[in-house]
This record gives sequence, structure tokens and C-alpha cells, in this order.
Amino acid sequence: MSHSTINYQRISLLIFGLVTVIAIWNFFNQKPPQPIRIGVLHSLTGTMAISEKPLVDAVRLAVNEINARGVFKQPLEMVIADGQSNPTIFAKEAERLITQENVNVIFGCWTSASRKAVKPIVEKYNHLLFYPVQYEGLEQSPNIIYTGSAPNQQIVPAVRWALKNLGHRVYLLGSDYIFPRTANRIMKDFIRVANGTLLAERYLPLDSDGVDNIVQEIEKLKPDVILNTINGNSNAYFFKALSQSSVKETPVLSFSVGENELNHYPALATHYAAWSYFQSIDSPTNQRFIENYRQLVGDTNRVTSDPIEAAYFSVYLWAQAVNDANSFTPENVNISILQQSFHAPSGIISIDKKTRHTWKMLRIGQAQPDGQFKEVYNSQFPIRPEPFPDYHTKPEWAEIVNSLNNGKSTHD
Amino acid sequence: MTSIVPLAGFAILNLRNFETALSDTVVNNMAFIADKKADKINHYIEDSREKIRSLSYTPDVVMLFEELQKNYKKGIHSPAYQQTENNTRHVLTRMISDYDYYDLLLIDTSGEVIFSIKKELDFATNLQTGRYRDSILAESFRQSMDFLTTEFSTFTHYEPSEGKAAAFTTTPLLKNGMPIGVLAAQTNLDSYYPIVTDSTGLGKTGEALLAKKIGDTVFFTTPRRYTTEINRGVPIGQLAKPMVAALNGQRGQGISVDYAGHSVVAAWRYLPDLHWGMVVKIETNEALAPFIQLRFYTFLALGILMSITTAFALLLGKSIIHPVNDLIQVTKKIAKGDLTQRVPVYRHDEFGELAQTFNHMASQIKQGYDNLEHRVQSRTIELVSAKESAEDALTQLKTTQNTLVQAEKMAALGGLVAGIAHEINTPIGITLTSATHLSAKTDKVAKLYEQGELAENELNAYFKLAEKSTQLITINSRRAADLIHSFKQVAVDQTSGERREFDLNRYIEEVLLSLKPALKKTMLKIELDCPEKFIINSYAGAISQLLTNFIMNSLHHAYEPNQRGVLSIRVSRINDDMVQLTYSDDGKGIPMELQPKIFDPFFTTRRGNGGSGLGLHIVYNIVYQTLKGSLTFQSAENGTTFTVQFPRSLP
Repeated sequence: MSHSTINYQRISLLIFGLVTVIAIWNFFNQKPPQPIRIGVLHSLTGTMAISEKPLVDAVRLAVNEINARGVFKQPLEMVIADGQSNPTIFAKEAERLITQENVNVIFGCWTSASRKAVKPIVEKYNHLLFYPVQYEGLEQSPNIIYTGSAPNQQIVPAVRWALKNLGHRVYLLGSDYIFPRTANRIMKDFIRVANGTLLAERYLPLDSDGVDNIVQEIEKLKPDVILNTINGNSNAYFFKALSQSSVKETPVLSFSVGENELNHYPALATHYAAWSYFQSIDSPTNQRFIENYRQLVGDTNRVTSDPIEAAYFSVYLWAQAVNDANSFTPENVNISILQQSFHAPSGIISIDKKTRHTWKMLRIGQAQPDGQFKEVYNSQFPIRPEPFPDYHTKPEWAEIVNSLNNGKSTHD
Repeated sequence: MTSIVPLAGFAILNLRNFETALSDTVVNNMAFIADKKADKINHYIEDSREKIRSLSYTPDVVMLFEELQKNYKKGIHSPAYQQTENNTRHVLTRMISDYDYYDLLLIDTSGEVIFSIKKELDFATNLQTGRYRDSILAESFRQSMDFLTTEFSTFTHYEPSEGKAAAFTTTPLLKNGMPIGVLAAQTNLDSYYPIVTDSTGLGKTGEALLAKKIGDTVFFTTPRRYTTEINRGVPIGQLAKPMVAALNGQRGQGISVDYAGHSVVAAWRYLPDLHWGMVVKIETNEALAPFIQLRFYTFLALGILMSITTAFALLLGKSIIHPVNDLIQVTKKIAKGDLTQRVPVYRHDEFGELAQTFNHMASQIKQGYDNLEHRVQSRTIELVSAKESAEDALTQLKTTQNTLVQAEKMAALGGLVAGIAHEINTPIGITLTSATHLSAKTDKVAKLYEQGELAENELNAYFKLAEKSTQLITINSRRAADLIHSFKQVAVDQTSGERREFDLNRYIEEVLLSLKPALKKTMLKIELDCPEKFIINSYAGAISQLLTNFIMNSLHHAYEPNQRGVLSIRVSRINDDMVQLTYSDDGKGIPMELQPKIFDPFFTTRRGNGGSGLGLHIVYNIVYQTLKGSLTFQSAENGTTFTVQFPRSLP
């Protein structure tokens, strides 16, 4: 064997050995995959904190489950921002999350004010926001997915049910901002359609405790049902005052009182709530959800509610959309999200392609002494979302919203 | 053969990659088809809603409705009603001409169906109180009335249409924000089929399935390929996985097993508009047909290739192994010693050449071997005669050596005798002189005495002379006698070579005495260090010769003339039975390069000066052969030391 042959063999062997060593070294020294950042924008401080903080936990539950199942090669990482119950801060934080923290999606907002502040931000950057709270509708942003109920899914059927089952003489009461005002506007239409009678339409400033006048009026008018769109602490004041009045057994159907809030009020059997989800839903999916949620927050008494459930399944819808699009970028996910459906604790939910809202069921629940709601009515099937209720065209609605914003009408 | 293995491995790897890629493609295809179908269904529903909604906005329709309402009260057979009905039918038919509705109905707020194109059993009944108050139309009517929404209901059996499955698109007719009635459009399932059963991209075995769940029972709303059961509900537990998932609201795609047990590529979707599950599937056999075919042909090709190469390899192998075996056999035989073995040559290729060359080599080896034998033999003969010559020469040499040794001994003896004679001469001379002188003086004195002229002082002088002379004579005679005695001893010992017991100390002294004349010419001193009365039983003559030769050597070689020096002889006992005798001089020593040769016979550096070269050779022989001892020496520039060790007593 000539010397040159030996050298050739030796060199090949050396290279092979080197490559193997490098490969093995790389294999064992793999850098941990870069996490995928998702933004969570809720009020951790301020008046809305008590409602919004549990939503952060709900998102975390979904993120943990998805990471544990290894759905993606990289783990999801939450970037939590505090909106401080202030819409301006919400907008600033949304921008920061998008431009500096480079999140791929934002799960956030509760109040319509905060959502309206964040809307132009996500539209500017062609990003994606998941909004999990029931609201007044009349909006359809190309960069928001609305996983809370639209008015035709909550307000309209609930009003019909109330007028059918509780009575025709209606007292409208709400906090003074866009959601209650718009909700009442819609409710008035259906009170009329159902041949009901509107006795009064009253608004409390947010956080106000000036409920005495109202309770007195209620005592005087004696409505068959109070349709309640008060948001926040004022609810506590109102219910307390009502329970001490002579008309304390007046049926109240509330639209912003969930399990979380019910603990703080003296609840009566004449009190109802309208949601798509109640903690009392008796299904294995829901049982597991409640268990896991309680385990995560380390509190066996923690309650779940409609927004909590919506925040939870929003993450799963997004994850499915990412899988289908094979991409994390908001632009791509924004397209594939429109085809998603998911079996959530509240039942089957699907995204409606046309409206970017979610098909959801309506449930009416009766308040129980243990702080839970007992279901007394459900819509059987998920209701098609119509953020712009069918009976007016979009331009008509735009006009209505305008006039509401200008505070032109309190009665109609 | 070995080239097939990596090829096969490569082929299998490729197949696997292709299978994966194809599976992915097929699954993605199904997903795409499913999404397209879902979209199509949704569009159909949306279109219908849009259509009917916009229809309800048409002022004509509202007007006609109000007229109908008015005239309906007069009775459906009344001419007023008939006319309005005609008009309405005319208008509406035109408006929905491009749409495939089965029937169009108008219902007033109380639930009365006041108009229908088809005029089936639902016409002129009340949807709130009448027979069909639980029908799908009635439900849709209530929905639209209560919620003011345009709804597309799900497909269900509709009794008035002979139980055909139908869905209704209903919308409220509004006036001043209040509903005055409902417009309903009926779509039958059969007109819906084409959308669903469109099997583009589904090949021969593919189908799209739609099903709805009522309680725990599932009803398929499309005919299925592998069963004739339609409309008979299936318990959900018996459903294949994809449809279960679809009805559960899940969305996905993959490879699964269908209701007939076939392996299928499926995509499943939930359709919220209808609350239906949809599964689009195709059998994997068909979907993966290209892969299955490729696999078949690949393995076929591999198989054929493998058999060909195996046959080839065997053939080739045979043609290689055979000659190799022959070679091995012959090599073995040759190794055993049979050099006549040859490899049979019967091929014209490399193996033939190998055989030929091998044979040639074997012949060469044999020839070489034969030559070698011959050469060895003649070499042996040469060697034998050379040996004999050498032996003769050796014998001669030994004889010569003995002769020379004898001659040397004689010469030494002669030298010794000459030395002794020289030495004796002196005392004898002195004796003679003294005796002669005394004799002359005595004569003289005697004469004077006879004449009576002897003086006293002359007599005293004579007595002094006589005393001195006799002293001289005595001393010198004794001296001469001693010398002769020593000589005798040495000579006798030298020639007789007798072993006897003697005092080594006294003997060495005697030997030194006899050598005194030789040393007198030099500036050298001799020192003897030996225990007194050291009795040994050995060859005295040998020892005397030993010392003589040592001393002579030192005299002749170690010193310049008139150089001072010390020759020292030390004798000591080693153990009980060995004697050590060291002789050393402090001369110039023996040069390094000559040291190995000093004991060689005839080696001398004094050839011209009468050196025979036998001195130390004789010493060597004496020590080893006569005294049965050992001899070592050390020499440097400051002197030479010889160390002799021999047994004190020889047996």
C-alpha cells in the first residue's frame, strides 16, 4: 500500500469522526428553542383589576396546557401588561407589546372603552387582538376576534326571555357609558316588539353609589323586571340598596354580573344573569376546566365565569389557527382563525367568518345562595353572531351609535 | 452484492420520504377540499339569507304583504285574495327565478301562513296554533319574529312537503321598526345535494358526509357510499372517529378509519350554521396510489436486480474461488516440502497469468534449492579441509608456543643466572681480594717473625688487617652463599615445578633478593606487605616467575631511565582459603588501546629491544593453569596494578 493511499484513508476517517463528534455535540448541546411570545393586556390595578386579573390566569391555564402537550416546537411565553383600568394606558401598552415586546398576538381588554382604545393600535400594525368579554356589538375590526357575546347572542334573546317569563313592565338601569347605553337602545327595540312597556331608563356614573334615588323610583314604579347593565362596584351598592327596600323581590336580569361578582352581593332567587357560560354547566369538559383552573391559581374556591372561559378558549382557537396557518405572524393567523371551531367548556364554539365573532349559546341562570347560577334556559344551539343586528343596516347602526355618543337620547 | 445493500437502503429511505410527502400532500388536499366545501355550504346559506333579507326590504313585497293580509281575512277563495295572490306570485317568482327555492311563504304576526307559491299542506294554517306549530317553519318563524333576525334553519323533515327534508330561510318584514310578518323561503335537501356531493378531487372512493346529532343519535343527511341506510340514526358510539370529532366541534385532518373499516385520509369540520359535522374522506389506497405503485415497482426492480446480481455474483465467485483454491492447495503442498507441485493453467486471464507466474516461481525456488544443496555440499568439503589445515596450523602453533615458552624460560633463567653471576661476582671478588691481601700480609709477617724483626706495631697492624679481612671475607662469603641459596631455590623451583608448603613471606623476600642486581641500576624501590609466616601450599616456582615477570615488565615499560618509583607487593588472606596478591607500580601505565592485548602471546611493545612478548602470557597461564586462580589488572597514567587471587592450598 502506497503512502498516499494511507493518508487519504486517514483524512476521510478523521473528517468522518469530526463530523460525528460535532453532530453529537450539537445534539446534546441544542440551544433551548426560542419561546413564542404572546401578549396579555388586562387591568392588574385599578377598579377593573378585580374582574380582569382572573382572565390572566385563564390565559395562563391554556398556555400551560398547550406547552405541556408540546403542541408547538417552541414553548409559548406570556408577556403580561397592566392596562391599569385606563384606556389610554391600554393603548400605550398595546403599542409597546407589539413594537417592543414583539408579541405575536394580544389577549386582552374588558371594558369597551379599553377595547376601543386598543382597536386603532392593532389595526395600525395589522396585528391581532382576542376580546373575550360580552359587549354592545356594533363593531367589526379586521384585527380583532370577538370571543365574547354580541348583543344578538346575549341581550336580545335574554330580553325576549325576560319579557316572556318575568313580565312586560321593564325598568332599564345601567352604568353611564357606551355598553349600557347601546345595550339599552337595543333592548328598547325588543321591548317594543314584544309589546312590553318601558317604565324608565336610568344611568349611574361608574363607581357611583348614588343608588337611593333609583331604588326609590323602583319602589314607586314597581316594574316586572329590571334589566341591569350596571358594571363594576355600583352593582354592589345597587343590590344592597335593593335588598333593603320594599321591592327587594323585584326580578333583576343582569348582564354584567357573573359568578365573580355574585359573591359580593346579597343574591336572591329573583336574580338572573345572561351568559353563554356558567360554572354550573354539568359537562366533563367543564369539570376538568374548573379543576385545572383552581389548581393553577391554588384556590379551591375560585370561581369561573363567562369571560374567564372565553379568555381560556381564545388561546386554543389561536393555537389551532397558528397550526393551520403554519405560522405565528398575526397576518397569517388572522386568516386561518376564521375557520376555527373548538369544543369549549360552554359547548361547541366556532368563529363566524363573516363577522369575526363567535357562535355562542345563550344561557339564563338563576342566582343561588352558594354564589352559583342555576341554568333555567339555554338556546340549545350556538347562536349566529350579529354584531350589527339584522333589523338595521350598518349605516343605520353607525348613525345610532353616533347619536348615543353625543348623548342625544336617554329615552326613545 | 454489497452495492445492492446501500442501493436498497437508499430506495427504502426514498420510499419512506415519498410516502410521508405524499401523505402530507393528500391530507392537506383533503383539508383544502373540506374547507372549500364548508365555505361553499356557508356561502349558500349566506346567499339565501342575503337574498331573502333584501327581498324583505323591497317595498313591493311589503305592500303586497299588507294587501294579502287584508284580503286573506276575506277568505282564500275570495276574488280579492285571488287577485292579490296572483300578483304576489308573479312578483315573487320573478324575484327568485335565479334561485332554487322550493317554496316561498308569507306569514303574519299571528302565525297564519297567508301565502305560499306551492300551496302545500302548510298553506292557510297557523304556525302557532295549528298542526305544524312544532315544525321547522314554525320555529324559524318564531325566531325571526322574536329576534328580528334573518335565519337559515337546519334541514329537518318537513311534513307538509311529504316529509322531505327542508330548511327555511326566514326574515321579518319590518315597518317602522316593528315586524308585521315573516317572509320564508323553503329549500329542499335534494337541491342542496349537488353542493355537498360534488366529488371534485375525491376520486373514485372519496365522499363528503354530513351528519347531525340529536341527543346521542347521529343522522346522516347525505347518502353514504357503503351503506343503504339513510335517515336511520346511528348511535354515536358506532361512529368513526372523524365524524365524532366533527360533531364535537373539532376541526382537523389526518389518516383514520371510516365507518366501513377502510383506512382513509379524512378532514373533519363543524358547520355552525347547520350544527352539522362534515367529513371529507378518500380511501388511502386511492389517495396513496402513486406511492403504492412506486413501492411495488421499486421492490420489484430491487428484487429483480438482487436476483441478477446474486446470480452474477455467484458465477463470478465461482470463477474466482476455483483458481484461488487450486493455488491454496499447491502452496500448502510446497510448504510441506514438495517442490515439484505446480498449479494447473487453463485460463487466459489474470488467473491464468497468476498460475503461470506461480509455477515459474516454484520452479525457480526448486532450482535455487537444488543449487543451494550443491553449493552447501562443496562448501562443506572446503570447510572440512580448511578445518584440518587450521587444526594442523594450531598444533604447530602450540608446539612453537611451547618451544618459545621454554626458550623464554631458558632465557629468563639465563638472564637470572647472568644476574646472579654478576651479583655473586662482587662479594666473591671482595672475598678474593681480602683473602689474597691477608695471605700476602701473613707471608710478610711470618718472614719478619722468622728474622726476629717483627715490630710490635706491625704485628698490631697485621692483627687489625686480619680482623678486617676476615670480617669482609665472612660477610661476603655469607652474601655469596645467600645469593646462591636464593638462586638455587628459584632455579630448583623453576625447573622442578614442585608443589610444596612454604612461607610465602620469606619466599617472596628471597625472590626479591635475587632480583636486587637488576634493580640496582634503577631508582626504583620495592615494598612488600605480607603477613609473617604466611604458609601456603602451592607452586613456589610459579610465584617466583610471576613476580619476576611483573617486576621485569614494570622495569622495561613503566619508567623512564632513572625515574623514581615504587613497586609494591601486597599479600593478604581472603576468606580462609584464598590468597590475594597485588602487584602495583606507579609508572606510566598501559595505554587503553593496548590493555586488551597484554596477555596475548608474542604481544610486546619492545620487539626491537629484545622483548619476547611472552612475559604476561606466561603470567596468565601460571595464574590460571598452575595456581588455579584468577588475574585482573587496572592501569591508568599513574600506575598499573595486577591482582592475583589463588587458593592457599592446592589439592
